[in-house]
Order: sequence, then C-alpha cells, then structure tokens
Amino acid sequence: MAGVQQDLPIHEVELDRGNPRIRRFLEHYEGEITDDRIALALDVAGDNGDDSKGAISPDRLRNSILANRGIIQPIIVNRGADGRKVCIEGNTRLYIYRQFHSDGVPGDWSTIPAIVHDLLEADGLDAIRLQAHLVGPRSWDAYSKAKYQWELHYKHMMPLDRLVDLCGGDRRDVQKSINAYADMEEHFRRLHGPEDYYDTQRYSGFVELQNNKVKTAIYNANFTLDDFAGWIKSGKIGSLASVRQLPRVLGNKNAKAVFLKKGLKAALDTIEQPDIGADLRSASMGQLSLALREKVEGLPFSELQRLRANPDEDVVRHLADTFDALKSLLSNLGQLDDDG
Amino acid sequence: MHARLVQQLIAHVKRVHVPERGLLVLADHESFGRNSPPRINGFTPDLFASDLPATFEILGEAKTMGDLQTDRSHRQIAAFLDYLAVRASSRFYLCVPPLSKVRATSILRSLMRPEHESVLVEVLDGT
Repeated sequence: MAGVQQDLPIHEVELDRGNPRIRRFLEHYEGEITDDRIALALDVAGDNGDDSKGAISPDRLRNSILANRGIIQPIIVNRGADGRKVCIEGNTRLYIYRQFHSDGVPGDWSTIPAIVHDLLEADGLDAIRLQAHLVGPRSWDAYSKAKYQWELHYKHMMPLDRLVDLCGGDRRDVQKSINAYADMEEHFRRLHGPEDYYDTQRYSGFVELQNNKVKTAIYNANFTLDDFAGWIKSGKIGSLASVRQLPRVLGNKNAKAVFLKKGLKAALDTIEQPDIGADLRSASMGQLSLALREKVEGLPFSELQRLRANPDEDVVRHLADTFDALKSLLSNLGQLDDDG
Repeated sequence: MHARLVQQLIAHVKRVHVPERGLLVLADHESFGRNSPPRINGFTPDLFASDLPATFEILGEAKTMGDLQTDRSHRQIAAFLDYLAVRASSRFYLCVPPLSKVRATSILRSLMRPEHESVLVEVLDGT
C-alpha cells in the first residue's frame, strides 16, 4: 500500500464524512453535512483534554503547527475513480490549514503535505484508520517527555519561547515538566548507586512537588528537597498523589513526628480519623463497591467541577488512595490490563 | 490604569532579567491568555517569572495607590513575600502610578518582616 507524497491544494481535499470520529458526532444531525459542520465535530471530538494516550487537543495542535510553520507528518488522502480526493487520516490538521488560510495567518497554508493513494478499497481505508487511531504512535511516558524538554532547553539551548510554542503553547506545562525533571535528577538521582534501579515512575511525585504549597511547606518546616527525595525513595511517601497533603502533615507537630517515623499515610490518619460508622464497617466489599460506583456515576457535574478546582480536598485524596488500593488488589487478582 | 501598570511591569522584568535560555513569564494580562500566574498563598500575583530549571523566581504586582492602601493588598503582598522568603534569589516588584513611589516604598517596607530580608524588593514608577 504505497502512496505518493505531494503538496495538495487544501480545497482540493475533502474532509472525510466516513471517518468514525466525525460520524459519531453527526449521525443524529439532520441538516446538510457541510465542511463547517464536520469541522465543528472535529473540534468537539478532539478536545477531550486527554493526551495520556498521545492524543492532542485541537488547540495545542494548532499552536504546534503554527510554531513549526507546518505539519511534520503528511495527511493521508485517497483519490477515488471519479478523481475526488478524500482525507483518510489528518482531518483536523487539514481543517486547521484551511482555518489559517482563511484567517490570513502569515505563512503558506494554501497547500498541505499529503501521502496520496489511488483507488483504495474499503479494506485499505480501514487498515490506515485502524493503524492511525487504534494502534497509533506509542506515546512517551511523562518522565521521557520531561527529559526531552529539559535536554532541548538546557543542553541544546533551545529558547524557552520556541520550546513552549512547539509543545502547544502552555508555558505552565513546560515549566512544571522541566522543573520536576530537574528536581528529580538533582535530588533523587544522587540517592542511587550505579547498580541501583532508578524508578522513573516516581517522577509523578516530583510533578506534585511543583505545587507551590508543597515546596513552601517543605522549606518552612526546615527540610530540603534532598529530604523530600529521601521520603520518596524510602517509601515514607507511598501514594504519589498524596504528596499534596504534605503541607497539612508538616504543619502539624504530631503528624510530622508520625510521618518521619512511619510515613505519610499513618501521619494523615493521626490528623483525621473519619468516623465511618458501624454500618459501613460491617458492609461487605461488594456492597461498598456497588455503593461507591453508584455515587461516582451519579456525581453531579457541578460537584465534578468543584472537585476539579479543589484537588486538595480530602475526598479527592480518599478517592486516590482507594484507587491505588483497588488497582493493587485487581492486579493481584489478575483482573487488570497491563496498561491499567 | 491597572492594565497599563501590568504591561509596564512585564516590560521591565523582561528588559532586566535576560537569562541565557530565556525567561518564563506568566502574567495576568490579556496578551498572555491562559498563561496566567499560579495562585500563591491564596492570592494571584500579576506576574510570575523564572528561568528554567528555576534558579530564581520573581513575583510582581501592579497597584493603584487607592488599592495599595487596603488591608487586602497588605495581606496579598505579605503572602507573596512569605513565598519568596524561602526561595533562593527571589525578587518582588511593585509597580505603582507616577509620583507614588515614595509612599508605596514606605508601605512596602512596613509590610516586610525580618524573615523577608533575603527578598530583593523594588518599587517601579509607572508612567
């Protein structure tokens, strides 16, 4: 299945009405399916804020294309028997080119790099879509992304503004990522000998450390980031999400003493022993799981937004701890996929 | 007036602080979109800047004189100084309208406690 690379005029290529992601949003729409309607579907479909699997929001993609003055990976186009060219892969990128062109954004957006196939059968179309979206490129883990950003900026002197633009325009994201990586390498790495296993999964603890309340609490309690790294390595901080609870613990004399002796979880238990009552204690794991699921599924949107804006709330920590415990249990039961 | 003072604050910080690899600036200004400063001890400054990885941090606040004399502004500035006091090579800028520098400096000095001694502070005369 070989295609030919060409620069195609943007209005010669049609957005793909058969693309499942677009169809999902348009199947209940009764009016004429115009390119504008498809574009709307692409924006809605793409902007789910989840880039954990390598997806990227239209906004960040737009910024990245702009910073790079074009796309790196050509879109994929099928030329049918009637000569029509349909975009099989890269509809959002094509739409962004059209937007830039019509908005007069500086640069040449009139043509787009494309791999053009001729007369692909349904089979071939599906193979391309499946490989692009179901298998997809393998996303880097957070530590590797941070390491690469740090290397570009610190070792190879890429100017900060350029790096931020290429990464989609969010300065706080880049800031958190580079500072977390630098803190981990400076304070955690030195606790490891040449033969020791360096657990890069602990990186997320250093991301949590970038919360300014956490760092301030560590300094105010006369500890250092070397101490923090030691707590991560020794397991005194087990659940990395609970790092954001450090200010409460370090600000409480008793809890601080328990933390230094037994760890963060025990320290948090001294601060608050929520009364969960005899009825809840005697309920079975099945009953509690069903009740929790019912609560989660019935969570009002307003409450979801409130919790999202207040990640330090106890309920968020309890949920994170429960999630960790469940993950560990299900993994032991052989009921968890490798990628979680 | 406030937006103009913030703009001057941003321009000053960018002119004075020029690390080799570039300066990270987050500001509460329309040209910065979502790149706004983080909340610090319950208050959001008008400007946050640092190099990356961070070896220094800068907070900046623009105030009209009326605003600068309120309790809320005093708590806000004290909160920023508390934050900076435990960080190395930190600096606080206060940008005020023209001819207010002397009065603003006096207010700022009165808010500084001994533990803020390590923070470099500067009052900028806006135009």
